[in-house]
Amino acid sequence: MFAARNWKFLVAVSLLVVGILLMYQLKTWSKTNQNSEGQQNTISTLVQYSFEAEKLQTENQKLKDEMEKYQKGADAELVANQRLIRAKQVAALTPIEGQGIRIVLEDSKRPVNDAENVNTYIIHEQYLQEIVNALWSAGTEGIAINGHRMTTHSDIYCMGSVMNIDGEVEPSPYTIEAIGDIQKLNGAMAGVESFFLRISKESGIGYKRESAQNLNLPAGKFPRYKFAVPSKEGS
Amino acid sequence: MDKNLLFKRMLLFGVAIVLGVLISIQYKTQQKVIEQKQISNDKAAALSNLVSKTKAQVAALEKEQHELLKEVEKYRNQPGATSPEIKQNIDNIGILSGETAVDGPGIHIEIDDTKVIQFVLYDQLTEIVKTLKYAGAEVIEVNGQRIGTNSYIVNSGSNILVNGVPITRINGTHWEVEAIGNQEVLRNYIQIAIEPYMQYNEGLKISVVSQIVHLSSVQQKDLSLAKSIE
Repeated sequence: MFAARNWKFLVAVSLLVVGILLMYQLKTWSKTNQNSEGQQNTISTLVQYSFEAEKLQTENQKLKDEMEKYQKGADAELVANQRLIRAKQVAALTPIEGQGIRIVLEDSKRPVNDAENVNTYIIHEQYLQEIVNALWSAGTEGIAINGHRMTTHSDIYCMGSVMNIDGEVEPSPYTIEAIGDIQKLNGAMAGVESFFLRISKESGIGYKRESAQNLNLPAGKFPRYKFAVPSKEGS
Repeated sequence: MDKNLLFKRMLLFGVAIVLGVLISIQYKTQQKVIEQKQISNDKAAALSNLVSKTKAQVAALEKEQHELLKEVEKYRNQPGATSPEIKQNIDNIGILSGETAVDGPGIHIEIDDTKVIQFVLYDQLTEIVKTLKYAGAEVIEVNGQRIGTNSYIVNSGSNILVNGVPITRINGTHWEVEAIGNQEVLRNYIQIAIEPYMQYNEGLKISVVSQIVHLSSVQQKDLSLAKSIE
């Protein structure tokens, strides 16, 4: 009788110890994870500050350059005109030319059965957006889709089987032209094009990418601002 | 030997082995944790030091910019030096490129995904920006990142990058999207097209407040490979 009770007691104590150990182990793991989460967040904050510092350094350098021009006796009107030309360039308000890449996306020409989903065979706005994002992230200096230069206000919307690009209706095919470093642009596209190659194979969607030595992109549109005014506080 | 007793002893033996293994694992883990904690503390201290330094650098650069702007403005505003028309043109074009900081009536959107399971996804964020554009927003900013000519929102691993800057936090993000435009129209679009979808599907709460907003500028890179043909 005693032996049986003793045995049960030993098992109970052992299980209790196992339970405590497991709990402790779990706590140790979760603490380690919390530490690494905290560190990753700190890295994220650091990157944000670094970007901010880089931006300010560039801005300050431009102001120093401008000041140097004035101090060397440059005509303020001339400097202002140079600033205006640059402002137009970076706002995509001047036509540009240069090397880059051309991507053509086209709706599938395969006949669609009643049982099939027609959406599988047409180009969607997300496809174009994905490509545009990849190209901007690769440092492209200008993008045009079917001859519409992309600016801050440009957008792409699906309208059934056609697309609304910058306020104008555009049917397939969609030609995206981007000026920039050919190698970097091709590299960025290689990162996203597995999807396009797959739908091209499965649904017959047209996808073509080529490098081009001389692309010409038109100027973008300048909108009329009704609400936003330049801040008196500065940046 | 009694079969029952043999079974009990075997079981006890098994439990003792498991216990031994667990204690040994725990001991090893604890040793590792102590070592790693030291390394991790050193790393955290170094990182935190770097963050403080970079933050101080940002503050110093902001101060320098303020002084530089004051000086440059003196030259720019010399009587007869720069026509007000050119200055206005530069400022207005800068609204489009993102290089001019702007003020105006607009809305402030807040989405907090720190207390929900499903984080805000990059395509949802893209949809918000797109909806604001469609509603006629003239200027947009996401967590301090101004949407300019060559802005982009992409996924990079588990991070959402806006203009290349990582915005997401591991334990959730407090999203702040600001837009200048017709307050009522912007508000309606967000409340009709975005809010129900995000709340219903993801349990994400969105707050939209109409207010006067100030949006910072974003510096654009000069064209280096593209040649202007005008």
